[in-house]
Amino acid sequence: MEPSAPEEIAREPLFVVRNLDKVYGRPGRNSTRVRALDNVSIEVRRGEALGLVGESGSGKTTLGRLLVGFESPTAGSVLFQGRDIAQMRRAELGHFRNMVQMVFQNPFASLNPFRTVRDVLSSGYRRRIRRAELRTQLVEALERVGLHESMLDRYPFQFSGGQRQRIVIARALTVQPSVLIADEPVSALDVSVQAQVLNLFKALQRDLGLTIVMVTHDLRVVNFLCDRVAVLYLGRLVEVGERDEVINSSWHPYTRMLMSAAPNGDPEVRSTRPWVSSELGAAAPPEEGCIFAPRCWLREQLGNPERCLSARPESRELPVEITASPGHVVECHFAEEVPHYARLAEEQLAASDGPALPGMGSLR
Amino acid sequence: MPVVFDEAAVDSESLLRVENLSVEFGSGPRAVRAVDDVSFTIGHGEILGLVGESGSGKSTLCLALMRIVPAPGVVKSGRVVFDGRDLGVLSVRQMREIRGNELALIVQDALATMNPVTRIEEQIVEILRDHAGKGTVDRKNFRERALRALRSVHLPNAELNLRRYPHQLSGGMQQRVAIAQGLILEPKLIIADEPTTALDVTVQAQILSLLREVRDTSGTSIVFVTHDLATVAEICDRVMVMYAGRIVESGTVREVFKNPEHPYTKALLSGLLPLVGEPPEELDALPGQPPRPEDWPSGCRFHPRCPVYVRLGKPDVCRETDPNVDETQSHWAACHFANQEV
Repeated sequence: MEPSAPEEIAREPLFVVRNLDKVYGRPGRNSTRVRALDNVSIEVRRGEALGLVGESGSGKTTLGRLLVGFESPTAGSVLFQGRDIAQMRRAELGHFRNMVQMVFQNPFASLNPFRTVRDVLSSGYRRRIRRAELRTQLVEALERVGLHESMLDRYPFQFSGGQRQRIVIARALTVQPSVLIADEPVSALDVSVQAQVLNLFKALQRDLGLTIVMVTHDLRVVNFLCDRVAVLYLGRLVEVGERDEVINSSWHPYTRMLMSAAPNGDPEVRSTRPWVSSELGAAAPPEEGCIFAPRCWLREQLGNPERCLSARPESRELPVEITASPGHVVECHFAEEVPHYARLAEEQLAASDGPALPGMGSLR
Repeated sequence: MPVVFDEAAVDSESLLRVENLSVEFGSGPRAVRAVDDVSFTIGHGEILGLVGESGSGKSTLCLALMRIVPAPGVVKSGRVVFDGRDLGVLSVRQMREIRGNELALIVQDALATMNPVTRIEEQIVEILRDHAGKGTVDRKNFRERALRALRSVHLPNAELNLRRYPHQLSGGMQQRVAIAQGLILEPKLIIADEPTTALDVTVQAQILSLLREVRDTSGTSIVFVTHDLATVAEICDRVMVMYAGRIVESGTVREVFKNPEHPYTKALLSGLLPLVGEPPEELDALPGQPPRPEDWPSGCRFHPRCPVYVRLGKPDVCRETDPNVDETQSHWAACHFANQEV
């Protein structure tokens, strides 16, 4: 894709992911093959915080790793600023690897135990700046993540989990990236420390204009941090849209299920979950029809239409007349029916005063 | 089973009473006190939430209740009275009888508690056989009971799964098997240590509802240990917040969530991000990190991180004196300034 004018470059998304497939395992051996991503297309816009959410096995981590270039696609492509990562030559790839930095879940595994904070941070600057400037830069790097210069000569074991995660982030920032891809960056941290790191991510996006891709299972983190949310299920992208719309008025039955499954955190308000049904088994996804059909509460409400089992739903953008903002993409034959039937199911449950989880009855 | 009955300890109200329990690791001046002077009770059919971060002592406390604190840890003082018996004076053999039969432990990593080369059936039947006594081995009956236990935790295809090995089950199914193992002898008290932490939200919702169902149908009491306040709001009746080896606040879930008194509880609750609706622009983050048992701070152990302490101009009392608490109250907090507007 050749951009024709400068303003078009500015509007062009940072990442364009097109029809991405990722299959693990040897070709031909169907029993060992796992389709981690199935025909995923999505854009990452400049300066946004995008959340990738889903259950374990949904492919959210795989998608994150493909964006960084840790994995190569089985089919489809990942374009960064219009260039296919797989086609990049050496110099270009080096530039790409500076621009896109990754933060992992476990800060204990991400730092070399034999290197001080000074060593860790210096390597990012060494080639670009003079020795005399180095110290100022290092102090600045530490302060940006809320750490103090007295910590420069300490080793990783002298820090807590939250501090280590901030050192990892400081290290990522030394090469002046434009994107941070973070895979569950607060899950391993103590609750009272998570807030420090979440505030830092928000500040980085706001103050440095960083683009952030947040891979997480935690819907609360997504609601706090993200501008847009992408929901994955068994390797397929089932919904993408603005945070407010996906979180508060989703158009996909799976997203509704995921949201209602999370405890609301208020002892006064009883959780009503008309539609949480059996867990993601080890079974392979259905070959035909909608991938979510076996667990779908909406399908049941609609009287099990044939289409859900016979035709795979196309990924489509909902018309702006029904969503508040454009660009809301869902993969469901009956997305338009979701809000109505969700309300209906909740009303039925409230009226029956039944168990909080009637789905339990239909577990088999 | 011979039972040591302690007349004074018989209490019709509570199933478990813990009095001034302390657990230390090591000995002498370098001993580390992981649990420090903890007292509480659990009623029949009550679900008690025990909330704390890593290193707060919550898991050590659970092990002490089961009397399985690993060496070099020892219960230094205090007692645990369970169903009228002082567990501390029971023989090893009597204690073994109680574990499993009356007291069950469910841990976070269900897979780690199972034998990887043994089928699910044997994992469950083994428990029955161990507790059945000699000469009563009746395989067919055991199998039936194992099946019933798996069905009671809503495990799909129970018959088929009985023949499977642990690794062939998903995480949620493994956790259900672990709960079935815990329930099969119909214990009076289940200690569940982070039973849903490693699970997806959809599975977590089902496990929480299952634990609640167990309580509602069999009157089992549950100690639910977690770091996640959202799950506490979901299933607990009462909650205790632990910090640095001590209980800092205790009350009914409604009281504590509505009117938290301890600054630490307040911080935890404000860190509980909203699931829906507009998120805050910025979070009130506590400074620092939870202290380690080898260097608990003096006085109130929360004072180095406490926003109230700073706001009051760092009063000496916080640094020097342990806060007194009236544990007879239904809702209390271990803070010098708990009931004052600051």
